[in-house]
Amino acid sequence: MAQAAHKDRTLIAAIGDEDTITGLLLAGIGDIDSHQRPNFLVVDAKTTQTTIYEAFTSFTQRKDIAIVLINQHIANDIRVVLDAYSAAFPTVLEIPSKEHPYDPSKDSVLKRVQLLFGD
Amino acid sequence: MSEKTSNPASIDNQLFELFDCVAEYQQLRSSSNILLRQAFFDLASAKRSAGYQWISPDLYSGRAHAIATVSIGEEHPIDMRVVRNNSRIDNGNEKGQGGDREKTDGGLKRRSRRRLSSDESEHAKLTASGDEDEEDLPGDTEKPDKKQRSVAVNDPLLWFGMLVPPTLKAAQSGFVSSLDKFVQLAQLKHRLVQQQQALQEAMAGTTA
Repeated sequence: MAQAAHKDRTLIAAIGDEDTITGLLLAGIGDIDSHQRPNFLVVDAKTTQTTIYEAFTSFTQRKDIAIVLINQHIANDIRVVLDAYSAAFPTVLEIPSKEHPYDPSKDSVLKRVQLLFGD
Repeated sequence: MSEKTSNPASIDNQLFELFDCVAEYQQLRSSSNILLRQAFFDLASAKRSAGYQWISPDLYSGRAHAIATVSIGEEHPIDMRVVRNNSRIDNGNEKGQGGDREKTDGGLKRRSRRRLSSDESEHAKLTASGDEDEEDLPGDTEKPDKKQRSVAVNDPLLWFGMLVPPTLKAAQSGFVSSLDKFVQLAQLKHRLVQQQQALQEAMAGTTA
């Protein structure tokens, strides 16, 4: 029954800077549902932490989203919320941006493995 | 279960599986980072040649829907795959412009034209664009054209015009490949979390 529920999850949401969102839209993930809700958020210098948090909460509560992609440097702004998030779906994945390359020390997946061994 | 948890050999096996998974995750990360870096470079080149304001998420078609989605399988462990109507991206047909209007209203247009053609032929001339020759063809030849037209419209590349810089196409290709890697990473993350939980239970069983 859980698997059947996951079948409805088909969309990929994204929270990122302009270049990341432009690229992902080019890849075809962009969607606006019947309630006029987009599945992406462009974060710039004027975007507040509250807006990012609300977008993240909205995406993780939607039943049609399977994966949430978020730039790692933006994820750091809501790190507390991300670390507290433990649901299997939608899966949250941090990705690098153009200006901020991937930092394995901040990868939540690898940090969990390190915690397992008491590091 | 108690046998499984108390068996050191099984814990070792689970540990090795976890390490293998972590190694695979890091390898996938590395390859996706390389793809993404090149894609960002191509996108920057396209913006420089076409204009920075001309290529941005602001040009996103508000009526478009996702053409790259995820399929979550029913097997265990969970299998996640990107489902993409490749024809909509690869067959960058340059027919048709005007967004989803043509796709959704194609049938209505034909019907309305038939009505108009029987009533007012002048209206038909005004409403028909460059595709009027195709619209007048018999139904059999219209169907493949309709498919091609709906295929072309959904390509996000067309939001930026008919003639896009080659670097923008390269950027799209890079981001499409990166997206595949991201979905694989998400799937690996699931496996890692499951293995981690199993290992924690096993280790808790031995210490108890």
